[in-house]
Parts: sequence; C-alpha cells; structure tokens
Amino acid sequence: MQYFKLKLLHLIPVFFIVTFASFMMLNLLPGDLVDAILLDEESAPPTEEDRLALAKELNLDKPVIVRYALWLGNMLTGDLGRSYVTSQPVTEALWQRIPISLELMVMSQILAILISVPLGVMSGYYANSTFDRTISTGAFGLLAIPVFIAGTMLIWVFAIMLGWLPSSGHWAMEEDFWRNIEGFILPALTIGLVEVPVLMRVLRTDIITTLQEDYIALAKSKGMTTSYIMFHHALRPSSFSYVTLLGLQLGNLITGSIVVETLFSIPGVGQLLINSVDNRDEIMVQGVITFVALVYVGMNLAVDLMYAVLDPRVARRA
Amino acid sequence: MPDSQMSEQPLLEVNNLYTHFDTPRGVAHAVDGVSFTLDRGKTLGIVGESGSGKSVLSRTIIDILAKDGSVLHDGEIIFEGRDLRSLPEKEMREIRGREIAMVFQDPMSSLNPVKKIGKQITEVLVKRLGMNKNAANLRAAELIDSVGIPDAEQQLTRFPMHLSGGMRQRVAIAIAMACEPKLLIADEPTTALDVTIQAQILDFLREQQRKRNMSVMLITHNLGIVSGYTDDVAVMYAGKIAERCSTDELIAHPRMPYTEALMNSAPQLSDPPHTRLQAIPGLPPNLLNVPDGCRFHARCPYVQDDCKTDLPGLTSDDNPDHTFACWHPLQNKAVGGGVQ
Amino acid sequence: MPDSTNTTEATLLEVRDITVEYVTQGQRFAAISDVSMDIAKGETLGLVGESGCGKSTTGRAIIQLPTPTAGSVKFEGRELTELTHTDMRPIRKRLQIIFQDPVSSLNPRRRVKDIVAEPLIISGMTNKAEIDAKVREVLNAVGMDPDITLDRRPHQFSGGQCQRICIARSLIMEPNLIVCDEPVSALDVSVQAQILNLLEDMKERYGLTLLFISHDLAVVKNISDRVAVMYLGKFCELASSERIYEAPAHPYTAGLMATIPEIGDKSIDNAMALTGEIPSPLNPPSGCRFRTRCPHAQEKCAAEEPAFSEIEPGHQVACHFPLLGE
Repeated sequence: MQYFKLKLLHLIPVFFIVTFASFMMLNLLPGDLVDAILLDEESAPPTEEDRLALAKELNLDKPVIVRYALWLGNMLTGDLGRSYVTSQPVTEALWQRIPISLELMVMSQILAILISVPLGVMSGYYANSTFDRTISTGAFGLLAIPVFIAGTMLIWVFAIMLGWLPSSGHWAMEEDFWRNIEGFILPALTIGLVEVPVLMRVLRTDIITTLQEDYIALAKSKGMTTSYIMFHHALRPSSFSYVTLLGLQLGNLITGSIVVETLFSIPGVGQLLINSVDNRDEIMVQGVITFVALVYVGMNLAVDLMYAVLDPRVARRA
Repeated sequence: MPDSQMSEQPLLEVNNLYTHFDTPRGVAHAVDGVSFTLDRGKTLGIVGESGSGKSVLSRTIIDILAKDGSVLHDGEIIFEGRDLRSLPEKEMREIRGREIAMVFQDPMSSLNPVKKIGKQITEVLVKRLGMNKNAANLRAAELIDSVGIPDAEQQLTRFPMHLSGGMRQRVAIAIAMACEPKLLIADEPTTALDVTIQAQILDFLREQQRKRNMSVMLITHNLGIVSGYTDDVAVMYAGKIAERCSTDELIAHPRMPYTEALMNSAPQLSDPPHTRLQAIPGLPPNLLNVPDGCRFHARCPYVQDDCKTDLPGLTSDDNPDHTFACWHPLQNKAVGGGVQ
Repeated sequence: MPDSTNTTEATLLEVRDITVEYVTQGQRFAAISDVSMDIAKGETLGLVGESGCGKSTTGRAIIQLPTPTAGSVKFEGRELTELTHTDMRPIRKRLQIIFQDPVSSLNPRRRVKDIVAEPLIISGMTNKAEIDAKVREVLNAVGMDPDITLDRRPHQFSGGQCQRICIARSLIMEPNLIVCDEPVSALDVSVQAQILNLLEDMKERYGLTLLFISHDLAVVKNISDRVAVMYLGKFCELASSERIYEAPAHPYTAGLMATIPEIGDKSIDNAMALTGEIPSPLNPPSGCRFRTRCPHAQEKCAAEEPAFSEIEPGHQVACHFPLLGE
C-alpha cells in the first residue's frame, strides 16, 4: 500500500506538467483565435465589439497564467469547457469517443500480447534454432514498417483481396456486437503488430536468461513438463522488461491510434483530436490532451502495480 | 519389486558415461568415460574442484541438461535395472523427481523467487503423485515441518525471500523428499551456507537418508565433508574419476597423487599457524583441450615420462575395491593432516 | 613465525570503538558497533565470522569506505576519520584492499599492464620505463610471467591468476597495510593454497601488515598471528591463533570450531554444534547478542551485555561465562 501511495504521488506532478505545457504551447500557436472563430462563420466581417465580447466570453482577454488557473479550477470540478466550434461540452464529446478508443487500444494490446508472448517464449526456448532465426528475421522486417503502411497493407490483404473483414467504419456495440468486434480487428492488429517485434525480442532475451537459473533446473528435476516449466516457472520472472515495455509503448499506442483511427475512419478520441486541431478548437484539443495525460499516468501506475504482482520482492524493496 | 534379486543389484550403475558440450570454441569434455556404482542406502561422495565435471555428471544422471543438440552423451546409466539414457522423455520424466531428486548448491537461486513456497512443493505432489489440492497442502505442511521449519502452515503462503539461506535449503530438501525418492543427488548443498548452518543441513540430510534408506550422491569440493558424511567416494579430475574406494580407505591410504595433493592443500584447524600449505602448482586442464596422457601429469610431483603420453585407466592392486587411475600410485601409507 | 617482541614494537593501525550505521527500510541499524583493535607492524590479524557479522564492513571502515559513523581509526599515528578526500588520497596508496571476486574487480576491457600500472599513473608517475619496470617487478613477485601477461586481458586468466593480478596491483604502491576481504573464498582449494602461500611470501618480501577477513576459520588460523571472531556486528573473542584454537573461551568460537568438517573427522561434535539461525542485525537480541544460540545462556546474558575484557594476557572475550577448561 505504501508502495502504491508513493507511486501515485510521483505521478501527480507529471499530470500537472503535461497539462500546463500543452496549455502554454497551444497559446503560442500563431494567429488570433477570435479571428479564427469569427471569420469561419462566413458572415459579415466581425466588428471590434464582437471581437471583444467573444474574447471576454472565452476569457481570452486575461493573461495566459490566469486562463490556465481558471481552466484548471474548472477541470478539477469536471468541467473541461465547451467547444469553440460546436459549443458541445468537451467532456460530452470525450465521453462519446472514449469507449471507442479504449476498445481499440485494449484490443490492440490483447492482440499484441497474444502474438508476442507465445512467440517470445518459443523463440527463447528454441534460441538460435531455425525457428528462432526465422521469427527474428520476420520481426525485424516488421519493425521497419510504419503504422500507416502496415494498416494499408492489412486492408489490402484482408479487406480487399480476401474480403474477410471490413476496410473501415465503426458499428456501435449495442447494435451489432460481432460487427463491432469485426470492425476493430484490422485497426487493432495494425497497432498491435507494430509492437510485437520489440515485445517478443525482449521476452525472448529474458526467457533465455531465466532458463539458466537453478530454479528452472530444479523444476526439471522435479519432472515437470517443458510447457509447464515455460509458462508456470519461466514466464513470470521473465516478464519484467516485457511489462515495462508495454508501459513505455503507451506513447506509441496513443499516436498509433490517432493514425489508425484516421486511416480506418473510426470516430475515436484520436479522430476528435485531429478534427479539433484542424478547426483550431483549442479548448477541445486541451481537453483531449488532458484525457490522454490521465490515461498515460493511470497506465503507468498500472504497470508499476504489475511489478509488485509479478515479483513480491519489488513491493518490499520500495 | 524389491525381491532378493533386485536388492543385490546396485541402485545405480554408471558405465562409461560421456557428456561433451559442443561449444563455438570446440568440444568440452566435461564427463569423459565415468563408471561407478551406488548401493541402496549408501552415500557416495563425488569430490572435485570446479571444472572436474562433478556437477555435469549429476545433471546428466537426472537428465536436465539442454536438449538442443549441443550436449553429446554416450554410455549407460542403469537405475534399478533400466538404462535411463535409452528411456523416452515421458518415462524419464516419471523418474525425475519421483525416483531421483536433486538439491542444488545455492538455495537463493534454486527456489523460484516469484512462487509461494507452498506452491513449489504442492506442484510436485499434484503433478507427480496425483494428489488433490487439499491433500497436497496438508502433505506440504507435513514436509515443511519434517525438515525442521517452524510454523509450517504459515510458511506455505510465504515467498522464498522471507526465509534465510539455511531455511531455503531445508525447503529445497522438502521438495526433493516430496515423492520419497530412492536416490537424492545433492550438488554442493552447503557451499553457499555458513558453517554452523552447513553442519545442521548435513546432519539433517544424513538423518533423512538413514530414515528412508535412501541413496545419496553428495557432490562437494570439501574433503572434510566427504570424510564425515559419505560411505564411499569418487575423486574426479578433469572429467574422469581419478580414484574410487571407501571413504575411510581414501583418507587413510590415498593412492592417486591428486587425492594426496587435495588433502594437503586445504588448511587444517589442527595445524599450527603459518604452516606452509602444499599447494598444487598450475591449473586444472582446459576441458576444451585436454592433455595427452594422465590429465594430472602437468601438476603431479611424481610425474614420469609414461604419464605424459599414456592415459591410465582405473586399476587396483591389493585391495580390489580401491581403484585409481595412476601409473605410479602412492604406496599404502598414511598421509594428510587430519589423520590421527 | 614472527618474533613476538618485534610485532608488539610498533602499532600500525589503531581502531577504537568504530560504529558503522546504515539505513534500510527506513530503519537505522548498526552493521558494526564499538569495534576496537590494534594491528602491529608486520602482523596478520584474522577476522572471522558468518555472513552478516560485519567483518567486511569493518575492513572497509578501516580504509574509510565509508568513513565510520563514530569512533577513531589511526593509521601510522594519523587520524583517518577526520581527513578530507584530498588528504586521504596519499594515504590510500599505503592502505590497499583486495576483494573476494578477483574476476569482477578487474576491468575486463583493459590490459593487465594498464590495470597493474593504474595506481602509479594516478599518483602522478610519468616515466614510462620506470612504470614498466615496476609492473614487471610486481608481476614477477606474484608468480606471473610479465612477458606473457602484460598484453593480455583479465578474461584470459583463471580466478586464481586474476587474484594474483589483483595482489600485484595492490603491491605496486608499496602499501603498508592490505585489507584482504575473503581473498580466497571464490577459489578452488588447490588454488586457494597457492594464494595463501603467495600472501605469506609477499608479506615477508614487502614487510606487509595484513587484515585478513574470511568466513573460514581454518584458513584464518593458517595465515594469522591473531584472530578476532565477530558475531552480529561485535567482536566476541580476540586471541593469538594458537590460543583461540587450543582454548576458545567464547561459546560461539567453540561452536564454530566444532562445526568445521575436518579430514579424518567421522562426525561433527554435536555437543558443541550451534543450533538456530543468526538473528537479524536490524533487531539484535538484548544483552549478549549470541545468547539466542548459546548452549550455556543464562538469565544474566539476556539482561546485561558482556564487556569485551581480557581473561588472560592477549586474550579478550565478551562473555559472562567464558569457557575456561583446557
């Protein structure tokens, strides 16, 4: 518990730094926000009064620090403001899209784990065999492919050539569960596949080290089967770097999902971010970044907790 | 099964066993033509320095070395009349843990750090003896208790890190005892422990061995331990057995110069301070490139020309139970510091 | 054997009541407390004890790695605990340490000649020919052929040879005191004997004084003039090596000796054998620290800590009821 509290305390400043920095950076963008909003409406050129009124309404007449403080105060009460463009509350826009993005991320991680763990364990066990070498070569090849190319290739193969899966779009889960899952397979696979090579290699290396340990020799001398030894004795002590890496890849996961949501036209948080940036909807962008920071911090906490679960010695050391 | 015919047969008979490692730098002759027998209820000491092949020998017998083609074997390991080397993996697995168990050197690394102690014992009982979970838990607590660890039931839910080195080694012994094996291989079981704890563990092992009429292969580098805890002894040097006889005979009348040198090089408490130690000059041979002739010849004070070219086999003279691999054996005389 | 009148002549090292404290898991604890000893010039003092008794901490505290939390260490009459890093530097040359694992204490990427010459170069010597001559001299002294050794790297040598290189490196500064921290524990018996003999030879040749730390009482007895036995961060007995073997006065020393398996012993003397485990140094027992394992413990032992006092000239023991029978 002490360990958990300590970790939580470390993460609070991270959250504040991220939101503050993004606020400042958005403020530094060139051009005048008031003009951007008013000119967009294609009506008569705005009068000076209109401009002042809007600036006042949006608090744009105040110094940036004060605006951050006001925003922060509202944020802590759960109010992230309203979109400058559509007037929709930012939280509402987020709530509509969060489940979609979350489902995409969770699915991509599940696929990445489902693919990388068996491959990593097997190539660790059969280290330097033909199997291992083939897998490694394939993995390095995969590593060189950027997300959007991987996504395009998957669409080409599975949607266009084979016609097994839809190439884009999103179906609400309530309407058609299987259709919903089906729509997520390709995008999730796109994000997941990119992570697989590194995850697999890291697990392979740690498995090789673990297999040298005496407790593996002891497990063998107890007459346990190889698969039991690999998954019950070797996997857990070998998964430390693996879990760290899963955590470190969260950044990639978020950028990956922005690209993939655009590529597969999935109405998730990523797409919201892209649209808001296009529209100079600063408050919406700030909201999305806040949400992403929260997710990032939360996931890091989860990773730290995983350490304690994986190895009881960690919680004790802290 | 234990009819009169069986009991006359030794429990374990190793015939001309070879274990070679194919490494990128050449073939390492870790075990190079080793033969010995071990009777039921007896303790055989295997003494040697690092690189003598004693640990590889034990791992070959219980068959836990890598199976990726880098380890080459030859010879026979006859256990209760069956050649373990020719058994299919599935049958060998039945023997491992159940008939032959092993205790390793360092209890800090031989227990899985992320598994509860109870689980590490019960998995043998469940997987090997087919016990159900509750019965296995009860039995595990009994085993923990029988190896002299207090509060057995609480210990089951603890992790190895919560126990001292001596206690961990007791847990490792409890795991080895779980299926009541006929042969226990103890590979330097006390080297990583403090002397006072070493004595406790060795006494405990001997007590278990007597109680269960188990055979023990005790692998060690310490002739003092051999002297106190074994019936018979095999001295290994560079992958081969250099001398083999009863322990009393070895201590009283070593015939192979290496044995004598090993005895004289260890400082003895009974010697006065600043007693010059009779160090063995040079280094043990590189197993990738073993010398011609007797493997000890480069370090032997009694070396003669034939030692450099001809490899001596195990022979005996007056006493047929005392075999040694030497062209010019020491005469039957008492040597060594600690002999009264 | 050193002449006893000679060894008492000059005290090289005077250690008084040193305590080293650490903080673990938010708790302060003393790894060693109130350790005192004198080492005479040319003497070998052996320090023996089980793991966690503080013997290595004592050795390191003497060379100020780290400086003890309390107490005084006088080397050649100079108080080391008050010196700054800069003032300590010239003294470090005269105070060397060799470690248990010779392989990991040598930088694997450097050649032997650079490893051995390093202390000279750090101390500002620049004459290449002079450095080379010194390196050759010490390598010869430790029994390594300089022509073969100089250009090789540590991994090309065995553990025993690496320990020889470590000894050569410590000798090159012509030290007065070498702290040997378990120098033979990682070595095979046959190689261990070579290194022990070498240390004796080097002591003679260079007039060294040694603090020899080991868990192996037989090794310590062999090399030392006097032996100190440590338990849970304190000295429990100090006497000449012969005396401590003939007439151990502390039950712990006696128990330690009884449990060492000797060639020719048929079994261990169970009457003296120690039961139980070493208590945690975080929470040592009250009174005498050994009482939880002592076969002779009485009420007084729990209530009162025994003083480390002399029971005969040159024989100190910390026990309320020392064993006095011959």
